[in-house]
Parts: sequence; C-alpha cells; structure tokens
Amino acid sequence: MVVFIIRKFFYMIVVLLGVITSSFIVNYALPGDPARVMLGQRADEQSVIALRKELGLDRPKIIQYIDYVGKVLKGDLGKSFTTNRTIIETLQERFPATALLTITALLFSTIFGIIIGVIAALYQGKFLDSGVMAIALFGISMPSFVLGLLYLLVFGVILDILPISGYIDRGWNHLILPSMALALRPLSIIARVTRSSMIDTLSQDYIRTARAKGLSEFTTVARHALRNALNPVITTVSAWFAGLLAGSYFIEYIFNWPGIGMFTIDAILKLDYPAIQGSVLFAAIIFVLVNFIVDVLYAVVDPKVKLG
Amino acid sequence: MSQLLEVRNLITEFRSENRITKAVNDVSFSLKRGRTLGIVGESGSGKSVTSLSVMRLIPDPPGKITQGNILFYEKDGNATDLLTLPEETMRTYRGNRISMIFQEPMTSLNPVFRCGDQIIEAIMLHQKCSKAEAREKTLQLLRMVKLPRPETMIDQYPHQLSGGQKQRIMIAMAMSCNPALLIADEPTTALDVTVQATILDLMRELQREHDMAMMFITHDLGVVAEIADDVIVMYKGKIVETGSVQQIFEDPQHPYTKGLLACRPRLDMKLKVLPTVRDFMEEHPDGSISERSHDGVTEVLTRVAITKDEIALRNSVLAQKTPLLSVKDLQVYFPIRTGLFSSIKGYVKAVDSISFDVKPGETLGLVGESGCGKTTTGRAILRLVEPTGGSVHFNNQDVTTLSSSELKTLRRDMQIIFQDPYSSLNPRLSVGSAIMEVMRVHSIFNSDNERKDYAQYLLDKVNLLPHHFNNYPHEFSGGQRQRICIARALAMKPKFIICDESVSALDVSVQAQVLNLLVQLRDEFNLTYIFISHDLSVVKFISDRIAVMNAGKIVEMEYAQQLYDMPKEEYTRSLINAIPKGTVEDIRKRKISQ
Repeated sequence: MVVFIIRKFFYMIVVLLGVITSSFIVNYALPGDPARVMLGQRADEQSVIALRKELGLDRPKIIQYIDYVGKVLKGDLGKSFTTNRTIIETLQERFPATALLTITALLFSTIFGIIIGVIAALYQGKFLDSGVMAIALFGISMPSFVLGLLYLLVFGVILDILPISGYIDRGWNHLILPSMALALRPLSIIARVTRSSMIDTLSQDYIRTARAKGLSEFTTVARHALRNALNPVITTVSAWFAGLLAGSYFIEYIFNWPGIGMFTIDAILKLDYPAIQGSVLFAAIIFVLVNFIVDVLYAVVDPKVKLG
Repeated sequence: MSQLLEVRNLITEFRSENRITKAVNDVSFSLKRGRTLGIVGESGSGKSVTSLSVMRLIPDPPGKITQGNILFYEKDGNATDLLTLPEETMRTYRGNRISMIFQEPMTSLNPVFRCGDQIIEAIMLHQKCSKAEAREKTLQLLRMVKLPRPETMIDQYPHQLSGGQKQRIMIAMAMSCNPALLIADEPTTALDVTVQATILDLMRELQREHDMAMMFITHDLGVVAEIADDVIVMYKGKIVETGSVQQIFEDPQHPYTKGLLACRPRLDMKLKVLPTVRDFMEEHPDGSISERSHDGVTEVLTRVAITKDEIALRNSVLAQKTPLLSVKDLQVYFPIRTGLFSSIKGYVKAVDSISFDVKPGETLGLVGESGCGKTTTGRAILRLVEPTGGSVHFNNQDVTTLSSSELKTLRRDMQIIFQDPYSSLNPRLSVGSAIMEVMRVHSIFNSDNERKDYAQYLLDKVNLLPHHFNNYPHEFSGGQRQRICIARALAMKPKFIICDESVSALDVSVQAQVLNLLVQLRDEFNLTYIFISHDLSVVKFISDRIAVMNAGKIVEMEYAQQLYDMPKEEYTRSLINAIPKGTVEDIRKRKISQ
C-alpha cells in the first residue's frame, strides 16, 4: 500500500510539472508581448522596454522558465493587473466559497444520485425506471446556467421564498439555489452511472451466490452489489468534484457567489492575463490532487486494484 | 432411505418480447436422502434452470415457474411444497437446508469481501451464534474441505486463491449449515482434470459423512459415471431418459443418450470418425424425435474403430517425411516487475526450452493443465508473442528472425483457430465478407468474383449453406461459428494450422462434429495441425503424437496410443488417471466399493 501511494505520488509530481510547464508555454503562445498587453496599445516604446526588464522578459527563455517554476512552487502566481493584489491571496480568499458550494452540491447529488440509480436498477425496464431515467436525461441536457436562471425566476421572483443573490454571510439560505442549480447535472449523471453499473453487478455470479445463501434482497443489494458497483461512480463523482472545485463559472456569476469561478470570469472580461493563468493553473492542480486521492480510494474500495 | 425431494410436472418459462420458451417442460423426478442424482444434458437442455427452479432463484422477469410442485420432505415424512412458500420462509431453506455450488468459482465469490467473511455471513444468517463462534466454525469448515493454511486463507480475498481453492471455499460455504440437499451446477467444469478429481473426491467424502443428497448437474458423462447413483438425461427442456447410472451406461434406451455416450472422444480406443448424435436420432420440425438406427453404442464404435496396424502404417509413413515445422529450444519468458520503479525481479518461464518437430500431414497434440505454457507455445510459433530465445523453422525458414513484411507472407501459410468462436468473429462483418477480407489482404485471387466463389466453396466444405454467405455471426450457433472460423482460416490456403482449444467451448455433440470436420479437412487439404487442448481425450482422438506440457517444459512426447497405454512419466500418469473415463467397468468397481 505504501509503495502504491508513493508511486502514485511520484506520478502526480510528474503531471504537476507538466501542468506548470504547459502553462508557461501557453503564456508565450499567446499573441502579443505581455508587456505591451499590460500597458495597452498606446503606450510608448520606452515604458514597454522598461516593463519588459522589470518583468524579466528580456532574459533567456530557459532562465525565465526556471524562475517561473520556482515562483509557482513557492506559491507565487504573480499579481493581478486590475486589483494589484497577489493572485494567490485572492484565490485563497475565494476558495472557501467555491469549496462550500461544490461540497454541498456534490454531497446532495452523490447521495441522491446513488439512491435513485439503485432504485432504477432494481426496477429495470419498469415504469419507475423509465420515468426516473427520463428525468435524469432532462437533468443532463439542461445547462446549469439555464437552470440557475429558471430557479431565480421561480423561487426567487415568482414564489419569492429564497434569496437570489449573495453569499452565506447574509444567511445560509443563500446556499440553496446555487447548490441545487449546480447539483442537478451531476445528480443525473451519477444516477445513470449507478444504474448501469448496478444492473451489470446484479447479473454477476456472486450475486446469485449471495441469494443462494438465503440473504434477503436488501442485504444482497446493499452489501454485495453496491460496493462492487461503486467504482465507476467514484470516477464520476471525482471528475465532477475536481471540475466544480476549480470554479463553477456560470452559477457563481449568476448568483453573485464570491468564488473562484466568478474571479476567473471577471479576469477574462478584463483581459487580466496573470489572473487567468493563475486560476487555470490552480484548476489544473486541483484536478491532479483530487485524482491522486481517488486513485488511493479505488485501492481501498476494490482489493483487486494492484498495489504492487 | 427416505424421500427428500420430489419434483412434479415442473414447467419453467422464459419470456422474451414475442416468445415464450419452456426451458423446463414438464419435468418430474425424485431424490432420496444420501443419494446423488446426476442431471446430464447439453447447453439449452434446461438442467441449470431445473436446479435454479428448486432453489426458486429463477430471475423474474424474464423467467417464471408456471406449473408443478417441488416437495421437500422432512425426516418425519411431512412434505412442504417449496413453490407455495412465501419468499421469506423460502430464504430459511436457501443456504441452510438446500445449498448450491456453481460452475464458475472465479466469479461466484464476491471479489470485495474476504473469503472467510463470506462463509461467516452464511453461518450467522442461519444459526444463532456470535461472530467469534462463526469464525471458529469457518476455520473448521476450511479444514474439512482440506484447504492449506486455513488461518491465512480465511482472511484472503478471492483473487488471491486458485480456481480449485475458490471452489473449496464455495463448498465450505455450501456445507456451512449442514444442508440436506446440495445442488452442484457443473462444479468442476472450469477446473483442470487433476483438480477436478480432488474436488470430486472431496464431494463424495463429504456426502458420505453428512448423509447429504446431491443433485449433480453436468454436461460431462465421465463425471456422472464417477459420482452419480441415478441419472436423468435432459434434452431441450424435457427428460428423455431416467435410470440408475449402470443402466444408463450399460443399456441406454433413448437415441439421444446413445448419441451422447458415443460421441465422447474415448481414451480406450482410436476412432476414424466420432459418431454423432445424428447417427442415432433424427429430429423432426415439429420437435418429435425418431430413432435412426437400432444399433447399440458399442456396435457403432467398433464400426469406426481403427486397428493397431492402420495406426502403425500411418505413423511409419509420417516418420519418413522431413519436418514441416521444427522448434528448437524455444523460450518465452515474461518479466516480473515489482517495487517502486517496476524493476525486473525475475522471469515467469512460460515456455522453457522446448523442442519438437511436426511432419507434413501430421497432427501434434499439445496437452497440459492451465498455465503449463501450451497456448504461449502456439502463439510464439506464429510470433503472436515474441520468443525470448530458440528457433522456429517453418519450411526451412527461421520464423524468429523474419522481418514484419516477410512475416506477413508467412502468415498465409500458418493459421490459428481460437477457442472462443463468439469473440473471434467481428459482429459487424457478414460471414462472406469476413472470409473474403483475409483473401483480399493477402491478395489471394485477382478479383472479388473469384474470391466469392472460393468463399462459397469453403462454406460448403465446412457444411454450411451457400446463403449463409450474407448472414452475420449472431445468427449462428457456437458450432457453426467455429466452422466459419475454420473456413476463414482455410481461405488463405494454409499449410499449417494451430487449433488453440478450438473445440473446448462447444457441447460434446457439436464438438464431435467439429472434430470430424477437422480430420476430414486435414486429409482433403493436406493440412498439418498443432492441436492444443486441456482435454486429453480430445487430443488423443485427433493427434498422431502427443506432447504433454507442464510448467513450460515438455514432460513427455509419444505416439498417441502409446502415451495412453504406457505413460513413462509420473505426471502423464497422474493426468490420465484423473480423467473421468466413464466406462461401465469403472462404474461397477465404484458401486462395489460403496
């Protein structure tokens, strides 16, 4: 197990280095001179050269690269053009809001997604199954921002029972609409993945063995089938988790949720390159970290995952 | 002996979209305490459905028991009809009074739970005891089924055990509540012969000690002869014959039973062709069966037997020819990688310096248990896996040194037919295009018209019909698919074919037809075979010489009959002894010893 974790950790470091390198390269693949972009088209040549020197852009690329990697490893992602604060500071400040929204939405969608998926699998081909799966299809097809706007309209304006904008510092009920808007898609997908994985597992020989032992249907399903069916579900949940942690752009924007997603959208609208680069790099690191944790989790759930 | 189980007029149906199939059609039988009932039949005969019906484990939908009684007798003679019990009460029978073991030990245990816990679960469910007591009892059970190191095994996961060990775990689980009836559905089919022999011994022993009745379901008449007291033979959902095991083997009445007995490849005599079920019976479109000939099994067998002189003549002719294939010191090693940096810690010697020749027109049988290296040998000869060392000369060319373009030319001459006819045909290619495709790739013939003609000719040769040319694989049965694979291999006009377990997935009666076809094609197209199989009797039927492999080495290589009559090596002898022969003499001996 220890060797397994060390190896996965080693792979993670390699991937992280790759991520940092590509974010460095992307910076140079962008058209235009960063200094020129920072100062704007009308700036005179003198100040551009001065800024290039200040930013170290006149040094050889390899030195710049080493410098960049060193800075990133120290947590220095540069300064935002617009706010003039370090990016890492802003990300740290905004991460809790995003994490709260993500965890709430995913807890909800995982728990209910699995329950719905299992029920659909048990009633495979019957009315309940087709009904639930039709709703899930709707949930998958509906983009979260449309759903967000719909919620705003129905619960916030027409029924006027939930607040439509702002963070929990103004009350916990502010969490409900954005997290529910965010939860429907992963919930639908988790339900579908659970259903198909369960149907597959329920046809396995060891389920027949469990029934032949005289176990009740509930024990057979909950104890013997569910754990075997979980692997693809973990993959789905983790992909969503990593994706949402990096910022749920539209939902945060619509509900004025002060998270990373909103920060990124702001940065894009204002062409704040270091901020964009910083949040993209941050998203990539979150992805890699979450995947590392999931790999270890697989090994815990399924004893057959090779530890050697 | 008192009655234990009586099945009366059982009908189990399966519904698909527009059809109702009676998988079990009006079946009645009974079983006494302490006796073993063998249920024999081929796939689709309804034998497994019968056993699952007794357990009431038919998946519903699509299955349903629509008629009949299943009476379970208590010691005092009172009977309960299992079909009328509420599900909850039925569960107190399952795993407790009636328990079951299945064919696939590999998949029948839950992979995410430790072996011991799966047995403990069954004990705690049916017996009021603490977890510690259940664990103690589990250890006793593991000792009873003779597992090595029970203290370690109890905490191991299924994938850490071998197939035979897993089946012992299953048996321990089934025996955990001292059932009155054990249903064993093909419990040894997936196991090697030597392992099968030990499992059968164990089951017999447990049955005697616990005075338990057994329903033993199998397609293998040899196994039935070793274990059953009474036998029922099933065909397409119906019982066609019932009798004591002696009656069935000595004097079978129904033509299907005769056919089944005759079409098994035998170890004690060499045959020109295998009799098939069709030699004995004819099935009419309305489903009725009539007898074709009134001959007994022995008469038919003697008619097709080859004399020792004929064998000797063929062997001497083959011996004078120069070899077509010559394998010298062939090695295939697979590295074992472990540790943080996946460094090579050693090698699995899958094939360990083996040498042999194959003469043109000859069939060399390669036989051994799973993991002995027989399949790897076949693949290394074709360079489907790269040999680590040694040489393979085919037609005076060293296959191991050829470039990939030279290899392509050579592949025309050397073909392989795999075990599983279901997965070795592309489901999206019609049979005709599958056969024509290989001809096109190797530029055999100049036009598609000629190729089509030849494909039709080949279909005819493998006993398929011309209109099958446009059909897709899913429209064919397993035996037909294997014949398509044979036709496809023949399309290249090869000189040499490796048959890798090519008949192992087929029912005995179909197996006989395919084996006959292979022999007939060998003579007609002047082919040379290497025939790889775990089944010594199949290998013995088709081969001129047999090489027995164990742990990557050839243990013994000899003419087929000689190998069986006078095995020189201990390993060969143990392999031959482990095979259930299914002869009348053996049954008599067993009955007397009982």
